[in-house]
Amino acid sequence: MKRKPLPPMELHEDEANAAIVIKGLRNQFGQHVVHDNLDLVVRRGEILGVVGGSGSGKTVLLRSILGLQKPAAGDILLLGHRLNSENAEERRRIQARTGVLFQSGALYSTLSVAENIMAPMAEFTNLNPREMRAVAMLKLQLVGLPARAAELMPSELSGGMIKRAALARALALDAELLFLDEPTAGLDPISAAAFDTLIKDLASSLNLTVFMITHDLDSLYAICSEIAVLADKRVVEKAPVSQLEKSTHPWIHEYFNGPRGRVKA
Amino acid sequence: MSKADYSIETLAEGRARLILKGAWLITELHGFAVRLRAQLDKIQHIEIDATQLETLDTAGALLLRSTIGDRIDGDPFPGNEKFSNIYALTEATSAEGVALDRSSEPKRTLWQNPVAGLMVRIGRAMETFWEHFIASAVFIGHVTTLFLLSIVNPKRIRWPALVNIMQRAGLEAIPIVTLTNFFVGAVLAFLMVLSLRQYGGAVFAIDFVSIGVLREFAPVIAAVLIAGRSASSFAAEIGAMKMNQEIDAMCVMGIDPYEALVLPRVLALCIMTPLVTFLGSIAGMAGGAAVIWAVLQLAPGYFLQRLYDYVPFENFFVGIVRTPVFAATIAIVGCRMGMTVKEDVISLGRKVTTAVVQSIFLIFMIDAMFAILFNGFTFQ
Repeated sequence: MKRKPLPPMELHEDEANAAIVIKGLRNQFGQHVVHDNLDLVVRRGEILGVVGGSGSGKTVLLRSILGLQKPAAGDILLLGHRLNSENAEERRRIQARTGVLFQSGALYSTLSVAENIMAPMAEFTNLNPREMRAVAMLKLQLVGLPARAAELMPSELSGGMIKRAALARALALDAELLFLDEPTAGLDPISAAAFDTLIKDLASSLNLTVFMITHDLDSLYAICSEIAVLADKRVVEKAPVSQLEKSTHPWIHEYFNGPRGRVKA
Repeated sequence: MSKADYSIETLAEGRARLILKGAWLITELHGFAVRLRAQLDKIQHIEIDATQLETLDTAGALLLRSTIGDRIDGDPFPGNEKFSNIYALTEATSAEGVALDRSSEPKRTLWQNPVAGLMVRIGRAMETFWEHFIASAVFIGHVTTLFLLSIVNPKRIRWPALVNIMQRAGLEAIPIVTLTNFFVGAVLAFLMVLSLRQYGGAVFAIDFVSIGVLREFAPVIAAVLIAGRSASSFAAEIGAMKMNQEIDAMCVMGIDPYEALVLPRVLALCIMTPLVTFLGSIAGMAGGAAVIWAVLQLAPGYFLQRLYDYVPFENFFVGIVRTPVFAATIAIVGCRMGMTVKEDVISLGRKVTTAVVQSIFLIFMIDAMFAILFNGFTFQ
């Protein structure tokens, strides 16, 4: 049985070259609808912060974009391709251009930190082990881990170190599309600020597109060019922080003007 | 985007211009380090021409810095902020073993001398064996204490957990245990009829099958199957809980994980294994009866009569009395292995394997001990 190929997605001019295009996405678990008719466009070179209340489906959205979760309806283009309908070879090529930092790190527990960072390189490049190791050490240093951490196993790392090691792995190939699921959660403010600076530097120098789920207001203000707000099962607003502060949507208003918000009355 | 490439233009003695072309990305750069270093070995002053360079990632910048970084004249990427930033990212890296040479390789720690290596391995094995022995003794002591305490005060027993495990480990094992015993009984009957026929005493196959199934086969088969099902699941369940810090959470809430997790499992298996074994014995004899009916045309009624006349009750007693011991062994080994899981998945897999292998081994060992103990046993 051969599946009928989907018709090409109709794109506006500004969407044709976007990094991620999501149209009419619907995700549901049984009767529980997480997303309904969700639209989102992430332009290349953009650092997008995704915010939303607990259970608003931020991680589910990330999983759908990465093809880990089959949506009930809707269409997702990742770097101009439908991930799920491409053949294996094309899929791998797209995957080589994306890096993902999972919420809990998801380091391979049987490999040391250096081997974890080398894993994507071993998969997608022809470098010899010594060169891979050198690049891995560089990434370690970039994310602020000491060189001796390279030989540690993930079970020997602290929470913050796991985050950093996982970011180093996500950056291993300098992927042009970087997905970060709460990268600064659990870091001390100094490390979190350094993390933000690092992501901003890398993004601007490597021209990365960053899709970042975060609750860290500092990150949102410091590095995000735009912020997408997930509420009511869809993206209710996508705009720079300065505009969102003036939004009339109740959740957004509470978010930026609440007791922990930044907008001073 | 074109392929990564470069060319070298010699300007003067010891002075050259390196022209970078295309996309210097990590996926393109294999083999560049060796070639670059060889070609620019003698040259002390290198200028970089990056006008044809399209993209540069950190791996490309690292490659440049580690091969020729100290010999570059001036700013490598004047006027190009993007490339300069990336190049700057690789700064201060060469200090701590990032260099692309052998010094960054991990040192070997394996014992090189085979004799010394063997001695070390034997010594370590003995040490771990002793440690395991002590730890097992402590574990058994802990469980026994809890068991005695729970007899004094039955409120300590977690009844919902107990019943749940009785269903999962006992009730759900019944189909596989009865089926396996049925086949083993049938095979035994076939073999016995085959050899006893030559002496004209094929009918003794009934005695043999019944005694064999009641005394040995049903208890051991039930125990081995339950070990395969439950020792592994106990170890995996408790191990996964340990990895997820659930055991720690119990401890800080004042819940004794031994009382909440281990004791119900031990009790559930001790209750269910004899019952499952009983059903297994009946199935084994049914298998034998079916074969004897088919081969010798002796109806099941005859089988039953002979069972009643010539197979005394001791056989059932000798068989069933060992099953709680098997059950306790399986549960204790499974739970203990689960409790020793560390934080990586390899140790989880290893402990689950150990739980199954060790419990099956112990079942046969204990079975042999019982066979010796009850040799020639009667109630008179």
